[in-house]
Amino acid sequence: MKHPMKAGVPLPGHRSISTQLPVARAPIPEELVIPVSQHIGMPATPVVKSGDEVVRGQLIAAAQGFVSANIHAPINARVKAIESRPVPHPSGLTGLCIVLEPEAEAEWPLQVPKAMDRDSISDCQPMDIKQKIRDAGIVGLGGATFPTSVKIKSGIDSHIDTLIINGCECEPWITCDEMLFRERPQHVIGGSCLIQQAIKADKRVLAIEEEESEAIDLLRGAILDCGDPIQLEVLPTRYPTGSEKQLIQIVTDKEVPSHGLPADIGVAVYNAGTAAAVYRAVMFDEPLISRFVTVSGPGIRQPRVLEVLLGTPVKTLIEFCGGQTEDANGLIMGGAMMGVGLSSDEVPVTKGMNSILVTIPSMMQDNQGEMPCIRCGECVKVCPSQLAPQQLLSFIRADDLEQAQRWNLEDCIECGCCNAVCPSHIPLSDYYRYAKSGLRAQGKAKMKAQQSKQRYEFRNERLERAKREREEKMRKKKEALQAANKAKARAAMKEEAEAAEREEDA
Amino acid sequence: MSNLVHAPLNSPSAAVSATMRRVLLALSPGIVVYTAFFGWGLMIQLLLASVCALVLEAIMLKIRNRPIALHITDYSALVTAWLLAICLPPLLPWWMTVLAVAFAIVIAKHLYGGLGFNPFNPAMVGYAVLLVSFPREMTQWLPQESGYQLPGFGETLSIIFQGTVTTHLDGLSTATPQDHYKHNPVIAPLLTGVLAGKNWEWVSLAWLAGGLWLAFKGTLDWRIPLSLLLTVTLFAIGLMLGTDNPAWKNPLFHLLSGGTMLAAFFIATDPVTASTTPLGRWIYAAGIGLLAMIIRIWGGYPDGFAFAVLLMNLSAPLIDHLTIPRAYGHR
Repeated sequence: MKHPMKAGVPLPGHRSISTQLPVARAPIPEELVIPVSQHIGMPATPVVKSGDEVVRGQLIAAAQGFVSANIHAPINARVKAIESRPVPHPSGLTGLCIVLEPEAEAEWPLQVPKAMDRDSISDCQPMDIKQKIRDAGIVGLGGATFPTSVKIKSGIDSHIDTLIINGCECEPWITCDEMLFRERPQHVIGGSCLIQQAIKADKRVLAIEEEESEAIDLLRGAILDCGDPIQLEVLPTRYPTGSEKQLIQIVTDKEVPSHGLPADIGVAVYNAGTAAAVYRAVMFDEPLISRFVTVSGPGIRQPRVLEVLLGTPVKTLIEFCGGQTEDANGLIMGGAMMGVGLSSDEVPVTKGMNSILVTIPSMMQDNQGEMPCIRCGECVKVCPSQLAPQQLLSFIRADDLEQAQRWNLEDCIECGCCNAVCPSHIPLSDYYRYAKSGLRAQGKAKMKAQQSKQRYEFRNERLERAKREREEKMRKKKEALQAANKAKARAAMKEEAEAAEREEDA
Repeated sequence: MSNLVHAPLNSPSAAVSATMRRVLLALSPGIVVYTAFFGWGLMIQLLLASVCALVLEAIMLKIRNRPIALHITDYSALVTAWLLAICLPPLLPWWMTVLAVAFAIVIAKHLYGGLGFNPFNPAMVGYAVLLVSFPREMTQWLPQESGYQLPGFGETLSIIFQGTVTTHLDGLSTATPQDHYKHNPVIAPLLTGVLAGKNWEWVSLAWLAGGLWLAFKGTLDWRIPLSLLLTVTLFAIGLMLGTDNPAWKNPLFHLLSGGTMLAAFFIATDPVTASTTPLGRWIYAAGIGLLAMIIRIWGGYPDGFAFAVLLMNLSAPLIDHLTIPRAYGHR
């Protein structure tokens, strides 16, 4: 590794508890609930209707617009309803979902072959790969859920010198990528070949953390079998190594410009799970209908990684993993540092859900013990964005968002490292999340104000012009009238004069 | 199970009270050495200041309607009390110590919003109040001559609490080493007990030891002492080249005398009142070193760290404003 990350924090990974058992396929539930919006961008539009019979892999909701993703039936089923259901969101929001009732005899499909056929990968054309990814509805599986085909398109359009496959699961508890490496390393490597072929990257780096030790040799073997020059970077375990911007800096020593994209500096980062999904989509025409999910935490009896059909309720996974312990007190989707709390276990697994964490009370930050900030600067040392979190806190508390913006609040990645080291136990990243949404709202309000100002000015100008035109018209009319009157008067005078003359003559 | 929990989940291992306890521990070697050389005065002042600070802290927390138990156990009032007591002449009348602590805790700390919100270092505010109000008492140090008999515990108590000065302590009113050498230039041999005034350099070395431990532990930002001591050293070297005063011929004099080490490791490093950005901390500490040396050499006071720290406290927000760190992606 060339450029070690000095910031960040070492966190206990809690990996081993969920990597003891092999990946199991979760049971098929009685009902699959599939939200039409489980990616960044426009929600997909349902193309089936209630009562339809659908088969596994059939398109059930189509992408709308460029930034969007298709959604497919995970299994042979009947469309039970298309209605609002609770979706994975902390506020218990509901969203439009396609509810499927699997056939009674529906089963998981047979596993696709593990071995990789390098030659048939070479036969694929970039635009075909992109199209197949688009058709398969693949999105970033690390949790970002950005449509992969859009990223491929921008990679085709710009010059990418380094393609990084991100296998760093730096968040505590999450192990689904590690299990993917252990069980299907060829799919990840094959996917990376396809992505490189599509975006024509000069070199390829596969980055994983040294804590994923059992996966390292398997990946090395898969790379050897593949024969491609893939650089395997085994990075020290340190949170947030797996954050896109930080990983790019560690691997390339380049920084993604503020408000910019990795493509701006010739880098593209794809999650390892995404690469595997790309492989299966391109080589086996398998759309994105399932994913690996880590079910872990001290509140679950048998933590493990499951392969889950999208739309399976979280409850089914928890039951399959032996249920909750008695002191379980909450659910988090995603990691313990950046994940989102769930208010119910009735919500379905979606494309971006890499982990379900069942918490117990001792994991909670003790907010009773919150002290004032003493500006000790511990947060400055660990901030991977090189911000001054303590200054941002004081600006946000004073409601001075402008100042917070000047101190680069918008570059905060909300990783929570500052929370982890704060001796005053202040929930710092909550403040930043709040203030960033405030800035976004302000930005929108400003834009709106500008628009209405423009409208107002335009209206004034229009009224002014109309007034001017009216006045002009009036003036002309008046002049014309006056001229006519004058002419009339002159004519009358002339007539009179002539008459007088005639009289005189007479 | 219907709780809505939210990330990040963590139980931070650090705590404000632990930080403050570490500072108190780091001060201990210096206090022991000080007491060994200069008698019971400091111990009595420490105890007096501590009791006073804790009582006032509790009263102010009560008035301000803050959780008393939580805040009194953060040890911050004790740190202020100790730093203040260490700066005071050991035989200072008790009521002056109480006055200084009251100023530090009530006015400099709580009236500005309590821990974390005070713009000025409370201990230095207390010290400066006494220095400008009672300049004579504040410059009465134990005599520097060798062969001088330190007052015993009982005698120290009665001097501090009753103001009774026995006859053999006529020499009580003595200038600080800085004053002494400013006006009585002699050649100061190194580490023989007279370099920085009798035994003062040993006390300074003890502060240095405690401070280095804090820096090693990461409790204080090494930039501050390094920048401050570098500035003092450079200034002292310049002075060495341009002065006829033999005492100033050795830059070590300025490093090991007066409040240099204490200020560098324990006072300038108070994070609440210091600049917070990495570059800002270099500038802030260099400013303290420079101002202190100017006051020490040309000013009317024997040592200048209290005023230097307060002046730089005043500048810290501006320094922060001008040294916003370069964030990721702003290359």
